[in-house]
Amino acid sequence: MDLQSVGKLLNRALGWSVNASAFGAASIVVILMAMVVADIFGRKVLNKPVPMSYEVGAFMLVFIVFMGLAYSQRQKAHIRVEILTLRMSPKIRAAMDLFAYTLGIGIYGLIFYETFKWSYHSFEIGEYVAGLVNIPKWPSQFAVAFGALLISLQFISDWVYRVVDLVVLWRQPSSAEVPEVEELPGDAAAEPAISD
Amino acid sequence: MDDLYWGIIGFVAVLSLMALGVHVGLALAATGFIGMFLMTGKISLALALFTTTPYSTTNVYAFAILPLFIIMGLFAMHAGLSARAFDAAYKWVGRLPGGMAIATTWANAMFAACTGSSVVACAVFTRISLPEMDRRGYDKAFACGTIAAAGMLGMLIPPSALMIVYGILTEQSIGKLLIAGVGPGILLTLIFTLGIVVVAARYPDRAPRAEYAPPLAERLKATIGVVGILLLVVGIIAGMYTGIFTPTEAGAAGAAGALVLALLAPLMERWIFRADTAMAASSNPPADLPDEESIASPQGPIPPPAAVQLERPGLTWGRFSQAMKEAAQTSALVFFILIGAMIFARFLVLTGLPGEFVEVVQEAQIPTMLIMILFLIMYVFLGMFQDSISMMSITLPIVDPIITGLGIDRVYFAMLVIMSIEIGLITPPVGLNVYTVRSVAVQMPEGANLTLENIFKGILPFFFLSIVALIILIAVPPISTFLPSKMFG
Repeated sequence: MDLQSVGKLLNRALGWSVNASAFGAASIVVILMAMVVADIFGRKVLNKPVPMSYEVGAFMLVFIVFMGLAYSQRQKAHIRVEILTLRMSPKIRAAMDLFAYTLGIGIYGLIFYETFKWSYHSFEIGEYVAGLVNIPKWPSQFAVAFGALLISLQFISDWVYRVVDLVVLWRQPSSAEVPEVEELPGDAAAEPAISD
Repeated sequence: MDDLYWGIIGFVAVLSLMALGVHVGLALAATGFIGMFLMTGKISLALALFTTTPYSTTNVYAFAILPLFIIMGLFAMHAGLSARAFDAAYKWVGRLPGGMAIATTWANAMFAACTGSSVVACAVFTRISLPEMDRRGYDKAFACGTIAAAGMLGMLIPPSALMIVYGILTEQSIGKLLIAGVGPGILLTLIFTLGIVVVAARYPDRAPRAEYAPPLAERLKATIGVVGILLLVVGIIAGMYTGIFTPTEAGAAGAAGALVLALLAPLMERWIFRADTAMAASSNPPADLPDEESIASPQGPIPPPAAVQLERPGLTWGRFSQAMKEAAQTSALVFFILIGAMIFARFLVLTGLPGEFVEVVQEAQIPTMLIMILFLIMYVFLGMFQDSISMMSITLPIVDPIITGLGIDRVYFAMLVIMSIEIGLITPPVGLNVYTVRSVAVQMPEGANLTLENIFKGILPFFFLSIVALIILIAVPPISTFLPSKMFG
């Protein structure tokens, strides 16, 4: 297997994980809605509130946000100011993207490292929220680490695609030979759009 | 004093990174992290920001309101609310000068009571109202201007994503902010209505007057179509107001209610409106054929509008899962920025910039009102280039302490900020509402050759009207503060 197909395979695996994670986040939105409604009903009508619903609701938001984080990046939905970037040449734009993704890898890589240590520690000492039922804290803390890891990997994948773009763009004007230029559009790795 | 410079450098760094195209959430987080490290010289302190902030920003029950209100809005959309609200509003106010434009505004107000997004409102109503207004000979620029301006209501009338974000960033009661939006929302609706009547009376060619007056029975029937959603909206607002619901619970109840309405929508359609074609035809009575016979006829002179054909209300599995995914994604988007904002804010607190600013202002004896107005002008200006959430994330950590330090009511100021930001959304060069309207309009036959300039021209009267509304809001604080001050809890 050449490098390109390995890359594609890895990207597909990442895409699958990111989508599965987003599906998980979406399911938790449903569960959150159902739980809060059940809590209202239980409290107002049956006089039996759902135990620990405030704490669990807060945990669910952590899951929703961090499991959806990488998906949003894969969709290129995270907000950026594009008033300047859109006016740049494709080369400079690719370089700017690389810079942004590098920062993304750095920050979320560090967040992953820090929160993973933290959640592992919490798991080891068995940290929990006390109440009617004691709920361990580590699953929601681990969700932060998981989400940070996934979005870091997504940033890495985007980074690699942009590097390939940049290389292709750089070669383009200099390569006067017809065959090489014709070959380029078929180069799947050069396509910035990601599809599974 | 040295620390102060760090704060200023921090702001410059965030803005520069953003200009370089770095994601807003990343620009804020990176600046906060590096700034913290450089200021304290301790990497452990900087890393501590990354350990706890992402978790503490999301592990809050009150913030779970965001995904819940997002799905409520999406369900309400699938319940066919927008088209029916437009239909009902038109039947009641259609005879006024500029009746269609007024109906668009009112339908937007109703839609805004279910969703918290201006962009969604603009996209939906371009599809629904533009063809209708076009067929009645409305000036296209004026029609698009109406739609883009009415989209402003989405962020004022609760639920509003902006209010939620504002509450999170400034650590104040989200419920109070949401309730506070009712007054300004109604004010803006009334001012727009008045403005449309004046414009339509002065320039009848821009908004030809319809002679059509549906019988009372038909008006009531159209109203039935929106009764469910109105009850739901009134219910959750009243529930929040009286303290029966927490805001998060109101979000869940609203989402569940809208889900039921979306599931029932196809049945409603069949029972109340008989068939799709009948509904479409009766909702769009030709101006010159007011009798009911010809209206109900599917072979009427005017074909049913594209919007009704395109978007049959109802909830399929695909739409349901799409709505959930969208709620998760939007929550991720918003919190991606908010996490960065919180990291940045912690760094900013350490620099002491906000406190220093208050002192400088107080020593210089600058009138409070002047400072406030300068801030609002800044927001209108920033709103011309930037999206609302990033703008608030960058500025509020410093602006809110200043406002509090100056003794200005925070809820009152929040309403003014959101109004100013919304004005930025309809002004060039980056009027988000205008872009949205245009991008949807050009895909339709009615708006194929609309340019941004056209729409900006059409929106001009609304720009002045919103400035008037903003001035009234500044001059009469109770519009913003009366409801929340009487609120339970």
